[in-house]
Amino acid sequence: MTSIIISRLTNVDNIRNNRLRELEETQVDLDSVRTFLKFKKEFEIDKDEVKWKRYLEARKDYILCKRKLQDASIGSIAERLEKLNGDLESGIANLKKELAKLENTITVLQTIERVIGIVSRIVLLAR
Amino acid sequence: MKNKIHFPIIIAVAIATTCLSACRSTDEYKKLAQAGTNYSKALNQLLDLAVVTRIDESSEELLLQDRENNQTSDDYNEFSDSDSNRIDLINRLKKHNSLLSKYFKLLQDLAGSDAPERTQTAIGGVVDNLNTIGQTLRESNLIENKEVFQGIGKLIVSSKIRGALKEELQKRNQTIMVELKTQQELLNVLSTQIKGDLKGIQDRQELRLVINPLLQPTPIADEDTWIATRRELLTQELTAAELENASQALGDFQNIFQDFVEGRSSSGRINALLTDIEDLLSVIETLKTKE
Repeated sequence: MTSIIISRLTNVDNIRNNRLRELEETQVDLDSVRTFLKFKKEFEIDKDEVKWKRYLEARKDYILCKRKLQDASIGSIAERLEKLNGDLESGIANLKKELAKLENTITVLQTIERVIGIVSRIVLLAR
Repeated sequence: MKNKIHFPIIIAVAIATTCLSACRSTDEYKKLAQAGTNYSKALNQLLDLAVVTRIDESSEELLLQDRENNQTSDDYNEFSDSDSNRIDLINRLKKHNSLLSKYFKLLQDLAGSDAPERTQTAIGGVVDNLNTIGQTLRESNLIENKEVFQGIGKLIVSSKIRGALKEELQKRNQTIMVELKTQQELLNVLSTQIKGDLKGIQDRQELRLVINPLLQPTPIADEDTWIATRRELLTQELTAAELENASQALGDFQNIFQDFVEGRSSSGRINALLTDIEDLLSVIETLKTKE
């Protein structure tokens, strides 16, 4: 019984490590000067303060969520991570694509917020 | 008659061989101890850098947020709490590293001691603490592959090693191998994380120190400083990659320890490790200057 639990947690831990690696790689594009200047330039033109603040908030939440996922004890997030892993994986893949294209900033924001939302649900009961 | 002549010679040769063998293991142990001390210092510096880069990444993001959108105490606390978690973990690692360093120093005492009992007792206490902290580290999220510890078996101590040193190594070589493996795994993860943190810092500093002044309506006052800052920031990525390579090379200390216990000569490996350590310390120094 104990070995089954250990094996399951090891498996979930591997899932977490893979997602963390992808989140880290994607953060490089999210934090990049190119992305920041794209949002900043649009803000200077359209003066859309709501969109600008959403971007700033998303940058911050993304880092903090990633760190929470990193710091959580695996037992406290295992069930939710197993359940939401597929959504998280595809969410990160979409975000990576959107950040590489960097065309529609609203779509980029929605994709970032989707990833943050999934990670937040995973770490909701994290210890 | 023949036997009478040869018997003392045989005894003398046997004594000389034993002495040479003992001297050899003591000499080799001194080299191992030197490598262990340098390894421990380098690891400590790397751990300090891991704390600094994490804190600086948070500070840079907080400043960026504050420039664009005034921050609240809640915003500050979120980053601060997240930094504290990392600092706690690094402090445990530093304690683990300091105990491991203590173990190798005591082992050195044991190698040259005529009355080893006190040292043996001290080693017991150090290893117990080391193992307790090591256990929490192995359960931590920084260890990506927890299965690597299952394959670590007991080593057969070389016949070249004698006396109390041999007794100690026979008793605890498996434990020490597990603890060294723990550090090796943590090094891999930490060096990658530091590299990521440095990239985060670099992007934010480029915005703060290079792009923001450039976008201001007034021209840059000190152009030479601006050029130097930009150059430093854009080449920082190379240094971060060097750091990752050099710190991962530190993991070879585990193989050196294994070679020593099993009686294989590891002079070449020790020298290579000492070079890697020098490289690592120089990269850390460069990064500290740039910070």
